Amino acid sequence: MARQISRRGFVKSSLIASAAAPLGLSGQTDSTAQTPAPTGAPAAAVREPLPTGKIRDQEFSRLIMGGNLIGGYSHSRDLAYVSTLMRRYNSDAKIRETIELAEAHGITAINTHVIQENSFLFNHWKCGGKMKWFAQIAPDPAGGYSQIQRAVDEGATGIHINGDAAESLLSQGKFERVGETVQLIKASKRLAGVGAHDLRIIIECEKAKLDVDFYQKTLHSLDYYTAPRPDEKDPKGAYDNSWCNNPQAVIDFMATIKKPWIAFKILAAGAIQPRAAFPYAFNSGADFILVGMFDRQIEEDAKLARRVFTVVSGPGSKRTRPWFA
Amino acid sequence: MGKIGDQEFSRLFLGGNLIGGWSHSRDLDYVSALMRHYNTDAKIRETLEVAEAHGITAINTWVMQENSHLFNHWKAGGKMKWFAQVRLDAGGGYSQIQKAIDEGAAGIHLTGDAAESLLKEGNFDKVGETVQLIKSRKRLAGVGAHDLRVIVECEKVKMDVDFYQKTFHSHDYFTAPRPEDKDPLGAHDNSWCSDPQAVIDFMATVKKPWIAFKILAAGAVPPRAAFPYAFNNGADFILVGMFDWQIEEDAKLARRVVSVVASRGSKRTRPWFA
Repeated sequence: MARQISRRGFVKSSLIASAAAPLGLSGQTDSTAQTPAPTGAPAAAVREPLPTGKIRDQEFSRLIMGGNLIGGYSHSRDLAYVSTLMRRYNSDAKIRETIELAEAHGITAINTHVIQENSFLFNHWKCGGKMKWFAQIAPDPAGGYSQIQRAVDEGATGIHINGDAAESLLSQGKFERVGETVQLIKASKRLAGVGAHDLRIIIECEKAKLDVDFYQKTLHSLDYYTAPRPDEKDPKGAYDNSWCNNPQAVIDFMATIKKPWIAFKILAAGAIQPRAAFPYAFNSGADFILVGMFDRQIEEDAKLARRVFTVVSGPGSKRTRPWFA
Repeated sequence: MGKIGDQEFSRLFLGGNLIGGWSHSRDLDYVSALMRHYNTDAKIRETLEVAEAHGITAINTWVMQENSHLFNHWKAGGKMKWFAQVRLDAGGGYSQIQKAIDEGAAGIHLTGDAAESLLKEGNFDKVGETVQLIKSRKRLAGVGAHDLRVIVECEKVKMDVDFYQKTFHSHDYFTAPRPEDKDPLGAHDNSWCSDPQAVIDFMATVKKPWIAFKILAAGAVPPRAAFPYAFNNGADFILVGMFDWQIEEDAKLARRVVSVVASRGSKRTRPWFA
């Protein structure tokens, strides 16, 4: 039987455990542990808020939590075992702990695919948690939009077609369907976005004057060992190793875009250190950064995001793109 | 099973890197921490028991890493044998060998990086000293190497080793060294066997048991490719880091591969030396 604990107690004990345990031993959780049962206890107080920005009328922390580590999508190049290791580490209880930690450190939004296992988020809400949800969707194989309806029904604040789906529609000559997703999402009174690895998606959206509320576009430097080699020019690396083939082109084009930009894959799935990636993204024009984090990384990343944002939004910043959020 | 000296070991050994948290994961720094967080004391203990239950009879770890899980396994009646890696003391002494003996190692060997360092410094005679010392204490004495020149030197001086532990993997994976990278160890924690064909050719002339390690190139080569590659090319044993959930499948695969490689019509040309 799952142990009944209050959310406040859950977060507090998690934080104490993280702080007290020696390196290599903190965050231990039996992979068979159960998700704590919802108790309806009040949400934990945010210890220190993060800087925020607005997409339309809603405010979000500039650091948004990614869902890949929770879903077990490691993108670990030729190291196939890492995805399994992630899934085994991130037990239901650990994922729940992770989201509570994120909220306690000021993160107010998470991005996951609507069809992945999201019960941790729904349980978080049942217990009084306030994390907002950006849901990725893709058209149904037959062409319908049931995933949008599901995201709406399940409580998403923002919804966007994911990069793979948008790129697939572009290559099939069906780009008008990307516009349809935006219209449908907006008709449901949710924030509507478009995701992309390939810059041509954003260019096409702008060309068609799609009325998006935000863009979610990959941005990372190519300054890491497993980056694409000079002859590799595809938008996504062939070895699960790159998601932004020409970062300067992204920076240059996004400089002309007057919509909020959530930059994702900024760590190139773990190859770039946050201390390099966070300033790179914000200095290069991102309004928000979307970062996958394990429980033990959240506190440090939140502190770093605060520090970097203070510098980038201060006088003498290298950033030239205005904030659009 | 195969024999080193008068002792019998499973042809599949359990490696200690995943337990110690050394992932060698190229530019993905977080993976080592993830391993350490996954492999709690309880999980390591469970891993050892699962390994023993699936017929693995030996583990290889560094004598200076946390080995209490192994000692607890023994206290609880476990029989896993221990190959202990050792390095020289900063001052050149051999206290790690004594520690390995005191703590119950069945086999002891100098690590590859230590042997390579001695070769580079012109102190290769000290490699021989470690072998002599280990043998004088009635333990199986080996030499580890990433660089084939270490094995070549050992053979040149007719060192009386009981086994060699030499890295061996193909370069058939994305993060393998690029053509211009020729060092024995990849500069990006990505390779441990710069010229596998040279290893095959030289080991074919060596009449000592060969424990092949890093055969998965730290996770990049799948076991279904790496196990046959190692045994077909002359390895007598394979040393493989495994998480708890991988052991059963890897043990089954090892049984199947050894059975094929040891049968008539096998591609293997090197005789078994164990």
